[in-house]
Amino acid sequence: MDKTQSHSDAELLKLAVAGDERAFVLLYERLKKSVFRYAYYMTGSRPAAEEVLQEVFIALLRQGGSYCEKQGDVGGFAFGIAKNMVRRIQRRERGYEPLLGIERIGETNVISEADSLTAQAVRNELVERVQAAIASLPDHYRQVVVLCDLCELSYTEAAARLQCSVGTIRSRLNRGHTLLARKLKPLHKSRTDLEVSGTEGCLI
Amino acid sequence: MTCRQFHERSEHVEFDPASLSPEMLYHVSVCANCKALVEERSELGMELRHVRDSAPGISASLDAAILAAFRKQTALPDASSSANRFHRRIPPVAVLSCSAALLAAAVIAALVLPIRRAGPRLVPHGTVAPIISSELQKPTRSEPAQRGFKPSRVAFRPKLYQRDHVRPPTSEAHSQLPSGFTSLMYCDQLSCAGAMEIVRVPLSRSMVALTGPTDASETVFADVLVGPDGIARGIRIAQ
Repeated sequence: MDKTQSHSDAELLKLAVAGDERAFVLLYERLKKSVFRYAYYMTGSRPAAEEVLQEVFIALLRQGGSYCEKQGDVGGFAFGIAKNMVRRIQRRERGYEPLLGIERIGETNVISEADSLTAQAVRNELVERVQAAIASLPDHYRQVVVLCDLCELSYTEAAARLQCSVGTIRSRLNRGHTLLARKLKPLHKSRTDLEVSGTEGCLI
Repeated sequence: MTCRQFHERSEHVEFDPASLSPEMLYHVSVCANCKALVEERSELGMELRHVRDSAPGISASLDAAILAAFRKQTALPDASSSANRFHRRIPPVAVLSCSAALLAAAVIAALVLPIRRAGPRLVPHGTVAPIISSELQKPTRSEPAQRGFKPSRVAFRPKLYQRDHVRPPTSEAHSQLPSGFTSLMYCDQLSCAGAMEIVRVPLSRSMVALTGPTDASETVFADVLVGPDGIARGIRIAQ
């Protein structure tokens, strides 16, 4: 077994900054999925997410020397860089309207044999609507929904990334879900016609 | 269990109705609103799972590009670090003093150079015009040629006739060309600075017709006053 496999992220970063390619590749494999997903769901664009991923790892190499383990883990350090990059891209793209039809061409899932074309189309539409609803959430709710629901981080990890308490993460997530459910209500209407949740009107 | 308690507890439950406690399940069975909340949340959970599963993968080309960026970054570590060390060594005071010195040198150069350039222009005005006239009065090399002039040879090489150097006419001399010359362009000190040359050229028939009634068979020569930029300043009919 390779020695670098047992290293922590911080040790791998040090080795990578020193020029160890194996350490860099291992660190990249560990972090790339979460960074890419976060950037993808925050920007809603694959090219932007790829740009963020590339910039994050270049920045890690350049600023890796200044990384201090006491301030947090390497994942958090990378997440901080990604967060700033996402903000920069959002500022840059603010004046443009996305051409969703064009951008989605390369992102459509490969249709499996089990899925019919109709089922796939319905699913793609559903995914697009949910993504649009997530994108319309206020930033602090969106961050939590993306980290906890889409990047599959635990509450503790999300709290460490966003530098807030676990309780804040929980309440934000709950409010984010409530808002999302409200936005997606027209989508559910065919199945159920329920009121927005709340304690008001409860008899018990 | 009240609805408020149910809502507080449901914050900790992640969309899976199976994870509800028996107490919560009982509440859901008796409260329509809370049942609706659970259904809504489980539906939302399913949709979010769909979104999560539909996330695009990272392409191999991106992996390769990032690895290439790493190799490029680590290829010249010494050069970059030495450059950083060099930058760190220079104290800010030294940078400021150097830039101040450069600025001062630039200001001095800007003040001195125009004066030195303007130096040759400070020639007494009166000396210029006589020089030009005397130069023009001298018999030129073209004059003997004119006596035994062979038009067929000359027509192809007009500049071989005459190139008399004239000292640069300055100030007033610029605005008023030497006597006998007709101005072809506006001339002042700025636009017509530098030495001018007189070039004798044979004129075309059309040009002869423009200058007045002349015998068409006669060859007419003209002195053209040419500036250092190659643009004709003035012209006069020589013969």
